[in-house]
Parts: sequence; structure tokens; C-alpha cells
Amino acid sequence: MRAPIAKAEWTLALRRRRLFLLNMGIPLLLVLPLSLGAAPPFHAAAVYAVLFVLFGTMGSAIPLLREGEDGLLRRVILTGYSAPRLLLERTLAGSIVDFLQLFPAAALILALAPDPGVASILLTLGALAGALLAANLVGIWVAALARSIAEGALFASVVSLFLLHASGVFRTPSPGSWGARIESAAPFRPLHRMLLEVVAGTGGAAPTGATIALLVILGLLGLTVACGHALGERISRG
Amino acid sequence: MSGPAEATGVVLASALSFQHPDSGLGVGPVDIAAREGEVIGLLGPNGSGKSTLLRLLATDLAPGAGSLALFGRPAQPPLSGFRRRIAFAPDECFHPTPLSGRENLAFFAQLRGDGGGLPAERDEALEAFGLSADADRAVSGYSFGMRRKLLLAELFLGRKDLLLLDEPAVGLDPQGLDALERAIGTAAGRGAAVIFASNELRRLPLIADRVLLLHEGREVAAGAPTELMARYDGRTRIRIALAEAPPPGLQLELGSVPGVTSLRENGATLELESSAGGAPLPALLARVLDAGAEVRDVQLREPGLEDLFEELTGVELPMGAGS
Repeated sequence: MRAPIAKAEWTLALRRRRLFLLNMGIPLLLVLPLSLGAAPPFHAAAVYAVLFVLFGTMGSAIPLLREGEDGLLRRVILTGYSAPRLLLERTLAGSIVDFLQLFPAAALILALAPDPGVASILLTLGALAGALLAANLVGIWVAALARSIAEGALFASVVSLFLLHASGVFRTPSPGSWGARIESAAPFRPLHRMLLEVVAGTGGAAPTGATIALLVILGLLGLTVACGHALGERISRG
Repeated sequence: MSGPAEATGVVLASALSFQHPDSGLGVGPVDIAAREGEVIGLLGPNGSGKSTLLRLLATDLAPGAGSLALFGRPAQPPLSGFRRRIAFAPDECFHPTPLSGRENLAFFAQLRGDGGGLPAERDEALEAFGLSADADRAVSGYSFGMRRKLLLAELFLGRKDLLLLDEPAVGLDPQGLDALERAIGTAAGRGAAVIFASNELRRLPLIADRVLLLHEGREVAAGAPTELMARYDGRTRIRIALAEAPPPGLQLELGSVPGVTSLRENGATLELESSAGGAPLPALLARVLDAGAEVRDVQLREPGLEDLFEELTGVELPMGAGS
């Protein structure tokens, strides 16, 4: 099966070497002082989660908005290429590129964590992959709602921070409360829980509710594909 | 523009119209029909609705009123089936610029679903538009004209049933214009309908089977270029620019020269029409000089579509690059 959009995304990411290296180096520079310092695990994990999620959301929304504004996306849509497929390919390729660019930062966190163990390492990387997929999908919806790149950056920040809040990144809701119920299905919760446990040195098992969060992410993927025609039309009109 | 009775094959639009909400500019109501293998030119000044009409036919815009059928079916959502049979070249170039010309060709061919063509076909398309030497360079290093040629190479490689070209001559050198004319001829020869909008009035309209002159979104004339030009048959235009306003009585003198059918004074310029080609010119110049006037410039030209447009609308149609 040909996937020209995904292939082009890959080629473009690798060809823009400076941008690729910057996207790899800057998260590393942000993570380094926190990992080497004695930041409390709750705060450190929160910062890591915010960094990773914003990276995915903005990295998806802003290029879409730019290509919508400059007309490239419209040209692609007018070839008759399926808009849902276009968005699906971009999401999957973008998530993989994001994962590769964030891998050094994630590896540093894991390397400096107190005895994380292989299971925790694999679960953390899996949770990162899932969170990036969700963030890339959120970026598509943000791009559809925003009218400019500046608006896109604002919306991406607001929506990401709201979802991070709902994922329990900034507070611990009371057990049994509505906040706790929402948190159990929030897409970024597994990433935050794994980062918290790894940094605190208490990791080893998959966080509770990971399956529900995974189902929510897959549901978001399905919804994005189902609304792909409308989303593609909206974004490509700039 | 009512097409021939059998023109149901590719485009059949009736009372098609669209108004841009921001500017109020738009097109229509316009009728247009194109059958397989037909080449149609849309001509008119900026803002006359040519690009809007092309975008309507490309399903890029939804008509505000009227009906549009493409390939014998009403053009209604889902539109991707129609779009796969259309190659649309907007008046701007949009390319992923880090990719090379050859990669762009393959990328858009894959998007269009025609398999990207054989490598030899892609090479041929690049060669046809003079891009072979730069095929493996990133498009970010291409000039505007090269990007235009790449866009055209991409579209003609696709072998679509309907080609919509907005200002295809813009940015092209004479070789590029030759390649464009050949490509249009080849596409029409294999049965594609080609509709182009152009400000280039001297070459491209002549390869069209029919042209549609648009002004303020409305059709002002339509027909085969030769038929339209026939309205000007034998009316050569002569323009004599003087150093200052012509002396009294000169106009009467010049009007009596055999062959002169009309004369207009425009400041220090005399605009004449001749039914005898350039034959009256020596007599005209002799009378001007006899009257003591100083001649700055003389122009003699055969009439073109721009003259017809001016006669119909009172608006001078600027001749674009290459004209």
C-alpha cells in the first residue's frame, strides 16, 4: 500500500536536518537540568509531560496551518487524495518523527532515574508513543479550529494544558470524584503516571486505566478519520 | 457560452455563479460546456472572474447558484471521485520545496493515483519543459519560471480527463510557451478537455477551439478565435504619436485618405483603422508632415482579441507577458 503523504513527511523531516537536530536538542536541553537537579518527582514528571505533549500538539497543528495558509494542502486535497487518509498518514508519520526527536530526552530521563528496570523503560516509551499519537490528533482539531498560526499555537497550548490537567498532571483528584473518573480516561495519564513512577523510582507495572486511555486515543483516531473530509476541507482553506 | 449540442461529456455548467463574500467579486451567471478533446480559453482582465470560474470547475468552490455537471454527473459531494479526473493548475505554485523536481513529480503523481507514471514518462515530462538538468535539485532553489514549468509538467503527466490551467503562460520563456502549447495539443489529442484562463492574448487563444471573453464576471463574447477575429477582418490599427496636439484640420485631412475607416484623436496620438492594411500609411505620414507636425512614433498592428474586448466593453485589456 502506497503512503505518499507519510513518505513525504519522513523525507521532509530527514531533509530538514537543522530543524530535526534542533527538535532533538532543545527537549534534551530542557530535560537535562531537571534530571540532574534534585527537582521533586511530582514537579519533574509534570514538566516532562507538558514538554512532550506540547511538542506533539504544536508539531502537528502548526505545519498543518502553515500548509493550509500557503495553499499546499489545498493543492493536495484537490488532487482527489482522500482527506481522512491524508490526516491518518500525517498523524502516524508525525508521531513517529516526534518519538524519534524526543527519544534522546526520554532516554536521558530514564538513564538518570533510580533503577527503572526494563519493564518501566518499555512501558514509559510505550506511554510516550501513545501520548504523542494523541497529541498529534489533538493538533489536527486545533488546526481546524484556528484561523492563523498564532491562534493555532495559542489553542494548542490551552487544549494541551487542559487535557494535561484532566490527566492529573497538576493535581491529584479525590478518589471517586468526577475529576478522578475523567482522569482515568484522560489520554495523557499513562505517560504522566509512568514518568512519575520512573522519576520517583517506584515504577514497574502499567498504570491503572492505561487500557481505557488507549481506547480513548483509538476513539479519537477513529473520530478524526470519520470527520476527515470536513477537517481536511477546513484546514486546507487556510 | 452555449456549447455544441453534443457537449455533455466533460463539463456542462448552466447559470453558474459565485460571489466571494469578502470582496463581492465573482463570476456569473455563466454557461460553459466542454467536450472531450476541446480546448477553451477564458480571457479577460484581472477581476473578471476567470480564476473563480476555474475554481468552480475544479470543485474548489461550491457554486452559489446554477448547476455543474462533470463527466456526465452532477458535481456533488463526495468530490474526490471528480477531483481524481481533474488536473488543476492554480495561478500560484505550491510545492514541498525541500523535495527535488523529480520527487515532486512522483509525489503529486502518487497523490493523483495514477501510479506516478513510469520513470521514463517522468523524465519525458521534465525534458518537455526544459527541467532535465535541474530535476534532482531541491525546488527551493528553483526560479519562479522553473516552478511554473514543474507545475505544468506535473499536471500534464497525470493524463487527466479535464485540465484546468490558470494563467499557464505566466513566468514561461518562449521555449516554455512552446512546450505548453505542445502539451495542450497532446492532451486534447488524447481526448482531454482543456480550459485555460490567460492574459496572454497573442498565442494561447489561437490554439483554443473556443474562447470566452469575461468582463466583471459576465460573458461578453464567445466563439472560435477565428470567428471572433473575423469581426475585425481587414481593420488594421494605425497609431501615430505626435510631439504635441495635432494642428487644426489635420484630422479631416487624414480621414480623407483612401482606406482609412475611422480616426480618433487621443491627446497627441492619432488612432486610425484601415481597411487596406498598412497601405494608407505613407499618405498619412506625408499629410502629417505637410501640416508641420512632428512624428514621435508610428505603430501598425493587426487587430487582436483585445480590440474586440475593448469594443465590447470600453475597457482596454492589457496584453500580458508574451503577448
